[in-house]
Amino acid sequence: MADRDGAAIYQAIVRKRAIVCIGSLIGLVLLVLADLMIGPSWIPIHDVVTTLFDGPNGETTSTAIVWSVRLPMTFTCIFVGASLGLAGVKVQTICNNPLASPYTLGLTSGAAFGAATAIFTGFSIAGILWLGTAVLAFIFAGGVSLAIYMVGKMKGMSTITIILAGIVMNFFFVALQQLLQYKASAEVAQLIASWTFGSLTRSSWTSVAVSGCILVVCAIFVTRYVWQLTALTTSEENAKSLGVDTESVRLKMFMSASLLTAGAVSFIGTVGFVGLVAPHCARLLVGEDQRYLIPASVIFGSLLMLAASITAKLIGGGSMIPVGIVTSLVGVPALFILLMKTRRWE
Amino acid sequence: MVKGIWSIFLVLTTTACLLAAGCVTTNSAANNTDAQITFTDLAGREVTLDSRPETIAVGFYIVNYLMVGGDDALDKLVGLAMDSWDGTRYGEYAVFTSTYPKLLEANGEIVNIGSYHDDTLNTEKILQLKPDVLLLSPSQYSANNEQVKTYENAGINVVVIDFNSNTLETHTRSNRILGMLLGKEDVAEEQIAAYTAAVNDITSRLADANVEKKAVYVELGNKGPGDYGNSYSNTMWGSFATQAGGINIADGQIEKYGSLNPEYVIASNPDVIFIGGAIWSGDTNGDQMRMGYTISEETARERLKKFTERPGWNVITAVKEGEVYGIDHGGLRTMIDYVYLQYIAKALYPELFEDLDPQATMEEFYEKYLPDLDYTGTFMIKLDAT
Repeated sequence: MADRDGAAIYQAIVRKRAIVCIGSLIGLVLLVLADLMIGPSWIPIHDVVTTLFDGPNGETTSTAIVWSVRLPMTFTCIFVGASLGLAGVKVQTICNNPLASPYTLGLTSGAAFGAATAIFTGFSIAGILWLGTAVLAFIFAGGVSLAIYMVGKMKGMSTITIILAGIVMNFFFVALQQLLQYKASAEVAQLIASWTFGSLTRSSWTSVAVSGCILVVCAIFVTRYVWQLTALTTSEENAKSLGVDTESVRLKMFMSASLLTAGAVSFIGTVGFVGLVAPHCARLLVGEDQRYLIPASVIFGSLLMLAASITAKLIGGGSMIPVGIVTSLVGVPALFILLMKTRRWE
Repeated sequence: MVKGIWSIFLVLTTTACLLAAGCVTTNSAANNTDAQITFTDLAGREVTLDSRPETIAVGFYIVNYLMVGGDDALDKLVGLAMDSWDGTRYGEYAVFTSTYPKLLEANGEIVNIGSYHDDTLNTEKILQLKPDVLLLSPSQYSANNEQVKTYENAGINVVVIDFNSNTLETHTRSNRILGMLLGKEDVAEEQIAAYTAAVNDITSRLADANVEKKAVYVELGNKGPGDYGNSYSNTMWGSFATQAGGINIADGQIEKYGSLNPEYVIASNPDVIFIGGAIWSGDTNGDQMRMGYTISEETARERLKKFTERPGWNVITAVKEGEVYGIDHGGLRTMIDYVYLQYIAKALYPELFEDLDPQATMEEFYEKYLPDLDYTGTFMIKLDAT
């Protein structure tokens, strides 16, 4: 009798989780459509639809807007949001700390410093400034994560060490970036500042392809470790006793999280809040089971970015409000509402 | 023949007017007791100098200072805020320091009193230098309010002028003050008269012509084609675009300056596009827009072309018809910057301003007021129709 009760409860939980995942997936599709339909030129919806079906080779204004501006931005939102959500959930899980995120671990500020260096020195690749900026941002984000990993490994990869090393890195690179900004001329300093806001004007089909590929590869990679990660959330000892090589799992997850973050922010700039909020929203709704938590975090990341993009377009008119600013403005209320609705903060 | 006589008459009357204007100003300057100089500066402060200054430190506007004062002004110059001058306006730095080696910090003839671009002043050096006059920009003045009191207590006369606001009124008042300080009232008034005439000419021609207004987009090309740089509404290039009779698509979308949404730019379908260029630090083989002193036409055109290849820009009228122009972002805030107003006006309404030659006007100005300066470079350029 008791067994059947347990099974029933488990089934109810699984059903609830599945409903949340499917529901948010539907929400994602709706937001993608909304993002494609909304823009300062307010092309009629049927025009957007016919332009989408006509393909990218038309010579009309609608084609230029839908295929060259809106679609790359929408895809960037999906991939960047998903990447940050995934990176965030991994970092939180391996640090066993709800405050950890790509942002607090200094990965984002490393990327920002790399970008600032490129802008300051005029470093470009094949004569293209944004490409040089993206590549340096990527390299520095990777460098930061390697440094944190080295420190962590020397100290046995304890969660406190990882977090502390990350916070220290964050301060260090923020200071370096500020130094460059101070040294730079007014117009260059303004360029650096604008990079740190995270703007969708920098999205292009190239950035979509890069962040999309990284996301897919890392997502497939992480599915092999869901059980180990779930074990790790109970406790280090539990995971070890279940035969999980905790150090190796942490290393792999940490490095793939860095890669995801670098891929996400290198092109469009710093987007801080998604990596922290998306996993929390997901956790509040589906719990700790990584099989549900990971996809839910990914979806919530995309949802947040799309919501921010739509909000920015609605309030911005013809101007371009940096999406990085709006993500926090949209993300904070989202997290608060969830917090208020949940009885207890785990 | 009749035309010839007519033009001689015009030249004569113009000369007479200019002479008369010169006399008037000499008279008004004479109202200041022999050597005493009194005026209201651009921060609204009453300034009284007992005599013409012998030593001047320039916080900002070194170019304007030399344009009015020439070589004599160089002799009076004892200090200059020149940290990151090279980083902010590389072309200007290179040309002016090579023409006037005194301006090179390394030569040790003048004292570096602060930063060229971020309003930082080195108070200790200024006090030690103790110039008769310290020239400041409005933002330097407001950022150093407390220090200004210290300077004045030490007997240094702080004078605020403003070429940044880019209006006829502020340009006029600022240049007049420079003339008084440097004992070059005639030069200052001549430049003011030319500026006023040029601006009024454009306004009146536009008022008479009743042209169909064209849509204009102006962008600072410091982000390269991969991202959208700032556009300007009622300020700087934005106010020039409006004064030149254009409809600035940035108006109503941004406060003063900011990036426009790429979709908005494409959907607004501007008839004419201007991309502002300069030499930003480090950028050698990149894709930021380059214009100004030392830049070749080839480089400017090459960089400008890449902007027209942005995704979606193929449908914009300006791009289709080759109405895309480069302008020198460092060209603003001088008494010759009206040539950019003329250039924009001519680009918008070529038939109305056919007789204007902004490039030649600019060259004449340099030849006349800064004859030693090697002003080679590219300041205004059209991307050839493709």
